[in-house]
Amino acid sequence: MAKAGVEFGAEVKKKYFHFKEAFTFLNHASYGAVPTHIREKQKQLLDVVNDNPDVFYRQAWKPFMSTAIQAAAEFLGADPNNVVLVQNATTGINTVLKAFPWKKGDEILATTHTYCSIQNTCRKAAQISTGGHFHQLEINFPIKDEEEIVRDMASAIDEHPSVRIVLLDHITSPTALLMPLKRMIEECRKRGVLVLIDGAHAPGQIEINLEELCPDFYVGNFHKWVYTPRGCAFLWVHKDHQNWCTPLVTSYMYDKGFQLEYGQQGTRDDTPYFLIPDAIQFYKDMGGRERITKYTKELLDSACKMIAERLQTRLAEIPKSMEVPGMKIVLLPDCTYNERYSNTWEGSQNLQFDIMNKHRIHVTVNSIQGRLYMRLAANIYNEMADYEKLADLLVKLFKEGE
Amino acid sequence: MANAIFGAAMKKECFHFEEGVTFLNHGSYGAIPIKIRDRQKQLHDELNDNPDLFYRQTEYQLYTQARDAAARFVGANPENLVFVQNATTGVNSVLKALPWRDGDEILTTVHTYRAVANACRKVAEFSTGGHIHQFDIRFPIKDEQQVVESMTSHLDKHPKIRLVVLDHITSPTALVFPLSEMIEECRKRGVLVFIDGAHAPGQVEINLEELQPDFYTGNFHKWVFTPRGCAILWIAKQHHDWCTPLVTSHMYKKGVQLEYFMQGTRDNIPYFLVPEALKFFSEIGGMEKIHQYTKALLDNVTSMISDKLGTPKPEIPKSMEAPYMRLVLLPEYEGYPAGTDEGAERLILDLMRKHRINTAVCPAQGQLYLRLSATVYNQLSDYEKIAEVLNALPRK
Repeated sequence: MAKAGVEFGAEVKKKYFHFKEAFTFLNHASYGAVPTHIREKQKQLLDVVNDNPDVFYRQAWKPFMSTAIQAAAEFLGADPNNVVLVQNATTGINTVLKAFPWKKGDEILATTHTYCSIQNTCRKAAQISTGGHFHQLEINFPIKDEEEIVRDMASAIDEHPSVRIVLLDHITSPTALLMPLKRMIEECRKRGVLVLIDGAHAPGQIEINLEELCPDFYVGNFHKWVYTPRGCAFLWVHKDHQNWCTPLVTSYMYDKGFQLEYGQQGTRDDTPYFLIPDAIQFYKDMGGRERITKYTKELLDSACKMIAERLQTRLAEIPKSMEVPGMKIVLLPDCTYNERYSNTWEGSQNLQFDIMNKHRIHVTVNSIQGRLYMRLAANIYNEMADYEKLADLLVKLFKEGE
Repeated sequence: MANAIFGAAMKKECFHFEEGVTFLNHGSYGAIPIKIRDRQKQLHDELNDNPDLFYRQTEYQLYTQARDAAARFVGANPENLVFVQNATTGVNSVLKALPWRDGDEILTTVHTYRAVANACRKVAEFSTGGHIHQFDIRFPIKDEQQVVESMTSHLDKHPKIRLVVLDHITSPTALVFPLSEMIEECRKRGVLVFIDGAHAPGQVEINLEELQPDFYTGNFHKWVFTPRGCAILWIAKQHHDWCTPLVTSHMYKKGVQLEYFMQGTRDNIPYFLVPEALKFFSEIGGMEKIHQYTKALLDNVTSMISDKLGTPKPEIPKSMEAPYMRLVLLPEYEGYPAGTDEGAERLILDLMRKHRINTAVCPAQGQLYLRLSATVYNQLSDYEKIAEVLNALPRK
């Protein structure tokens, strides 16, 4: 395999990936992409399992699992004893929030940028303690500086002394914001509340050192920015909580310890986990975080600037320190021609759906503070032409009333 | 189709296994026909070539098609049927969603699958502080009444029992329970019934709308030849409003069907192979044809092995015999302590590693029992192999 020096964009796309003809992929953030050789490896592994399932399920899975956890832990700056694998970040968050021994009146604090499925998880988990209500810290554009978010969070906790768990994104999903976690965790520690980090988008996009960061819990996906098959994610649990933070599926290994309990959750297909070492190797072969994010950041910056100019809108007003290299949001104009794309949740879903089904371009659209924003992603198989295609379409839809 | 196609011919034509290994344990992990493995790989390619389209659109269509096919197969109203990754997940889903009260008790049996028993223990620890009862069923079993009465006497002695967990076919001991009668007795006493039918789909007729327990879970990746993990969870209509899945996600409060469908981004493709697997199942002759083959084979080989070992056959009514699984009592061996989990595990691993025979061994009533599986790719010579090995093991 070629190491650094391989041309990102069309060349890498052709050499390492396989996508459906005539589609434009600007939404790596949602579902990731799996390089061809890793797909093949997964098929081979499935064959090994299927040719002798007893040997695999009774024994061989253990070294596969521990090798995968070792590789994941190293990548995350984590003690492997604190890392277990789960199928996706949503499962990781559900695991923590549903294992926690809630008492009546206990509260959760999340934010207005918390991923919608996670907001639902908060509602469900809070059923017992508050009848489903949970607090959301408001974070509104324009954001002047990070400290204002830290201060607002600290005030919110002070205002609501029943808050037991603070749920923070490392990188927000709808708005692509890098949160000032170190400072936020500090303020949480002062107030004796537990911190659960939703780092769904973080692995592969930004540096993570979990033992240094030291929240109470951290979840992150490998199947987004680290090229594994889906579903593949991890849950990091601080040693102090491992005795009660048990998995969603209680199975054979109940009471046998943290690692074993999570390792076996009934017979199913865990092969996505076992591709972690290969996926990390691919990530390194492509130049690692430095090279990959340098490319994607430059591309995204240019592309979003270009789109904002052509649409005569702007980007979200945020500090540079809160930008991330793989995702960015662009404000869309009000759609005066078509009610289908109103500035509502329905409007965002309609637009996203139409762009996919009528125009074969994959993006994500969200409704934020009464306006539609398009979330664009960039990865090593993207190039400027992809975004120009989108820009042409958006101009038609919003400016020319197609 | 003549019986002759089952056995080595079917193994060669439709399956692919590691050379030189004898497979007598379909009951634990199932096996996937080559055609279905290939189709699974195709679906992986379809997903990976265009993940956005797959997750945002295609997936739900494939899910509902598969669910409807599964529902027809088990006599279920598709509105009451969802997919879960395995029966253990099905059990956990219900137990952990149930609005327990302090002191609620659960009734299981001594044959309840270990993982399911653990899930009950977890719930007792976390939610109820209540006791877990087990009713006993010991060999020799004279008739089905024995089993029903063991359950009812426990229910009558312990009025705090809120939920009974019954197997359709027990895992360690391959017993088919007389469910209709047992469910009736539970209904009379106002207790909820959860049926662990992990081994049932493809092995016995199931008609869930007729049977009407409160909950039923069953694997398709055992006797219906789908990839792992693929199972169903059936939930009676009156429980839909509270019986939510383990993972709360986008479809919270949108109803049981959508809630179970969407549990975060992951690989749901095993579910989507259900129509294909059912097609294979019926093409090779369906349940009746397979039963004919496996019952005759198991009758033959269990006699052969127990004669060779000099052990008596476990006495159970014919109506309680599982069509695809049968027990053989093992003599007391050196190094495999009878009636213990370690003895069973060590013997399983030694048979697997030293002799390349995949099988299951279970402790029961102070003894070790060999649990033999038989299915469409098995034949007599498979069992002759294990008979020899078992006969040669040093005895106490």
